[in-house]
Amino acid sequence: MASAAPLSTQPWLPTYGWWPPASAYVLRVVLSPYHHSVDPRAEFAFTLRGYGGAATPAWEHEVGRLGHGEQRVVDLSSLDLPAPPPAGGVLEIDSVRTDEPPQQGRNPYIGMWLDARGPNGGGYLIPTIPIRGAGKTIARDDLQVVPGVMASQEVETELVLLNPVDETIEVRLVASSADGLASESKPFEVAPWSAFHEDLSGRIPRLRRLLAPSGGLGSLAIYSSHRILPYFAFRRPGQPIVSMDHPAPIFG
Amino acid sequence: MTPARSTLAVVSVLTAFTQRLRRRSREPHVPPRERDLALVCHCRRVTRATVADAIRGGHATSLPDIQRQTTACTRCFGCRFDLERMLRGSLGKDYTPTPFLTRPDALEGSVTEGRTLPRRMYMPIFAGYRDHDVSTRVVIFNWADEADAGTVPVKVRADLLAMDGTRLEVWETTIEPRCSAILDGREIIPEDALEEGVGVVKLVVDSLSLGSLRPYFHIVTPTSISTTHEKTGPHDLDRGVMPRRYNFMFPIAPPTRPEEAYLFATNTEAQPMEGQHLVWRDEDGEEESHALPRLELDQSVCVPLHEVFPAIGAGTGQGTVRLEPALHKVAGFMVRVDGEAALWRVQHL
Repeated sequence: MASAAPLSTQPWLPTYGWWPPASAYVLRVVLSPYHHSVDPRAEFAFTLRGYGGAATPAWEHEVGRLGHGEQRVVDLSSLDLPAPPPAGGVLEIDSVRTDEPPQQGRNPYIGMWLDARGPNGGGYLIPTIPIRGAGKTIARDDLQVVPGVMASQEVETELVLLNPVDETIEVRLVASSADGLASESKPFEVAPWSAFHEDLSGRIPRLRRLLAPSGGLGSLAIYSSHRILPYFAFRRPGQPIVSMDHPAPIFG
Repeated sequence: MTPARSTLAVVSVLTAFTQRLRRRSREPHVPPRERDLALVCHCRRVTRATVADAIRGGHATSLPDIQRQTTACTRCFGCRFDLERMLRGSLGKDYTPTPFLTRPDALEGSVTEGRTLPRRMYMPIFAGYRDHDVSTRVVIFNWADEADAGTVPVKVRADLLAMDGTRLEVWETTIEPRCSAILDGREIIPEDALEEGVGVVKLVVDSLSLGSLRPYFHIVTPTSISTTHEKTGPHDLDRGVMPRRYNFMFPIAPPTRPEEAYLFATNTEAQPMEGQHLVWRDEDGEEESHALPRLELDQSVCVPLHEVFPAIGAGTGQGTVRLEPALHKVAGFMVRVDGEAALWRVQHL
């Protein structure tokens, strides 16, 4: 039976991204060594896994070993996968460098890229990020910020929160207008190995009114009881999103 | 809705000073004396008149001379091209450009510690690029909460640069805790200021601790708003260009609709970027190469990948475009444009 990337027996941390509903996006995983190493002797092994609310993967796809210079684009729609939950699931990219362990002072993970395309255009392109097993390297593990969120009749902010750990994560969202007025959501939970996907104005009371004086623009603070992986995107009425990005960690 | 603070400091995007400066820079009839008072180095607050006096007096015949004599161009180096123009204007063919920037030992950073520089953060600015209905805005958020006791207002400066590094505009503002600053390109970029409708915003932050001060920018079209964050230049100018352990890379999967693909890069290092290539490598290992022009500090290039690499233009190839050799730290971004639907997609490298 498939299981999550083992943190105790391999030195490279897995990275994560959103496994979106197949009806919403065609998702391709771009696996390339160039984002990690220029060493022509480097060798890698890749395994993809999808999670839909349980620590046991709903599916696993072993890509195999690639030498430096070899690249693969894996189209998830070609893999005959089960459907994720309505909000999507968690995608694990288990990238391991097989010829050497992580070097001192270097990040012990190998991020790859997700290229998602909507049926009517748009989509997003985003690198995968470690969460599970990642050490504390930033000033605030409980807080990330999004400079520039939007809520108005013309634009909505979509928020995706990924929880790739075994514990439930409690989240609180605080939106603020350009001049510092704030409104916050009630705390809510993101279950283990699950994705949360909602419009921001559905979670934060009177968000459109809060942001109206600054043209529907403001910023967002995301508090979480464990480090979580958020993404955000903007959507105009009747149009697809065109990008997703991660919030800013609080650097020291 | 809860008032976050009793005193709300609404961020003014353009200060009165900036407005005066902008008027001066665009009006040729401004009296020379007034024009000479304008700042050329906004970090050190050095006027054009001070620099002109140093050149006229024979004390400065090179950029290092100006640095030593006036302290100009010793922090963010945004005035470098202005100063070179002044030297060239006064000295004519006797002026020999400095190969690359260094900083005199006596002029270490006054805000940051040791020999590190102020934070320099770069973002592309699109304003009507290739006749597209596209604009750009930048948002900076000075978040502070109960755990951030002592967080203070932060002064930031944003320079609008042409692709050749020339500084076109300067904006200064102070962001109070919990407030956001919004620089909207539609309001602050003078019409036709950007040749070909593309340029760079370079943000200079006077803060040793970055905290939440990582600007994000929006590329806005009638049907889409795409966003990602800035890319930062190296803190230590003197470290020189060092071999990198990985390549900056643009992943390419075949589009489901026709689209254009652009790679945008700014050189953030003092040493010129020379001999760099973009290398397209497909899944079968076939490679094509495209030479980049020489880029000095703060100079940028926007390469239409769909034109220089036919497989990308045809929408048939999948693989990556990488920057070779892996040396310079660039502020790099990938932009994809579905022209028919006006959908722009941006992501940092």
